[in-house]
Amino acid sequence: MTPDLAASWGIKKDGSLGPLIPDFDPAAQDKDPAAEQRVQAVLEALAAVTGGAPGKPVAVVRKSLYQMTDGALAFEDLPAGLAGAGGLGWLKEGKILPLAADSDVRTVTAKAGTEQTLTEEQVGLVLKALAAAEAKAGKGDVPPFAYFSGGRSFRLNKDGRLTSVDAGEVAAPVAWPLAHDVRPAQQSLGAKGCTDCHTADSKFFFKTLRAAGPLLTKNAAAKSTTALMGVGGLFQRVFGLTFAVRPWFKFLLAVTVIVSGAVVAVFFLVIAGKLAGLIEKGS
Amino acid sequence: MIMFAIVSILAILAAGLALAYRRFRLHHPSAEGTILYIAIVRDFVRWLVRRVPECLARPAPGGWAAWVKGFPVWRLPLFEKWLLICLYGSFLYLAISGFLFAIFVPRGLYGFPLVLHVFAGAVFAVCLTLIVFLRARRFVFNPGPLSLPGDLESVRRFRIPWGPRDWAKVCFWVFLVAGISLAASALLPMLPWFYYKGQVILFGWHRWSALVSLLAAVAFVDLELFAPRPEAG
Repeated sequence: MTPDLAASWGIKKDGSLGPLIPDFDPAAQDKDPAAEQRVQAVLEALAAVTGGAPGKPVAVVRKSLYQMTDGALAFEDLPAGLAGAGGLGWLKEGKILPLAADSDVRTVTAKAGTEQTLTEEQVGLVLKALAAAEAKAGKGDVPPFAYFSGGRSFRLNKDGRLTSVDAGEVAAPVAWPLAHDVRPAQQSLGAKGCTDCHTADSKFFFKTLRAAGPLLTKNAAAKSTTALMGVGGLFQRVFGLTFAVRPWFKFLLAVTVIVSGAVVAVFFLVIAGKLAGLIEKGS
Repeated sequence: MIMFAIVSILAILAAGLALAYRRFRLHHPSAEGTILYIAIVRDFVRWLVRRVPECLARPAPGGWAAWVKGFPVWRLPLFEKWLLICLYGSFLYLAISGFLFAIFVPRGLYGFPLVLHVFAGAVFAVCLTLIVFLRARRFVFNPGPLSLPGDLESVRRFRIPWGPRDWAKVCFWVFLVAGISLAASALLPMLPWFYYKGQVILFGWHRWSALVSLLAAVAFVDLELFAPRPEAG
């Protein structure tokens, strides 16, 4: 089991997480050479980042600053101006910038494990940038930009905050038939009985569907399957409930048929017996 | 199911007319001596035209509530009273909901009326089973042993001994058999024994049983519960 770790860069090995750069004392005589090799590998990898590395990659280990100098790993005492820094970062103009911007970290962690590709923060930033560009171009009277996802329209309000409204027909759901809407018999609805659909909590009738879209948001449009099918939810719930007592209903009808049928059979037998003189008239 | 709708309407009208005609003949025994059918029909229509508004305008003292309170069922012992009320009430709803939807709604019975129909069906089944044990003995026929006639004159004079309540007895047993048929045709489609074609047949069976049951019930109510009494004057 992976122990709880503070938010930091790590490495996953054999199913467990560990720090990307292990803690060691750079000034120690018997320091683990593998630790500095790890620092060197990481800094070399970061130095290879192309397209917008904000500075020179550095690693702060305790009170030492590691960086690559002329192709070799070098370390020095942490300058007084950088006191309190730790971990990996970019050295730029005498300051250490975080390895990844906070907004990037928020975006990546929010999207981890989801199918969505955008966060509301990103959409807000884009809409703000677009609005600023329009304002700069002197087009202040154009309608505000909007982003459509999950059945809703996302816009910036007067305070610059992202809000959403029902997008209406523009983002109405569409049916997307798969395999001609045909399933193997064993997977078809009703194959396992009426209660495949008709129960008080049937997913077929009462599942709430959230509109899909690339935006990670809690404001996606949601609809129950009854609403999508245009059938009465209350009726389907009541009708589903009746299936809970249906075995008893069947039993009741069977008793009625058998018992009443037996009495009717006796009635005809008695008449036949009287007509045949086997049973005395009046008895 | 247009055929069912047409036959149902015609059968209900025919049953009503037949029962009305029976009352007419009871109240106008002089019509027995008439051999002119047109005269009988004319008198019957006149009687009907006079009686229908009278029936609809009924009841004079106390209104409809007093008329309903005058039913013998209210004077029965507690359990028997409520058994019959449940039987009448459930059958009334079953008949109204079933036939209204079957005749006037192309889709047939559906929605909440269907749920209530199923519920009323369960109540009706329970009541019918109890009625069989509590009331059937009152409607048993009691024929004597059959024997061959001695001569042709006996054959000519032979009449089936048919008492005044025998039609009501017949209606009771027809209603009972139709009720069992209704229960069976409601039960079988719920069992995993029939495919679509079988379900369609059972559905039709249920409807036709309901029509027989309704006609028997109407006749029984008229012959037994509201047995005609001679008109004053």
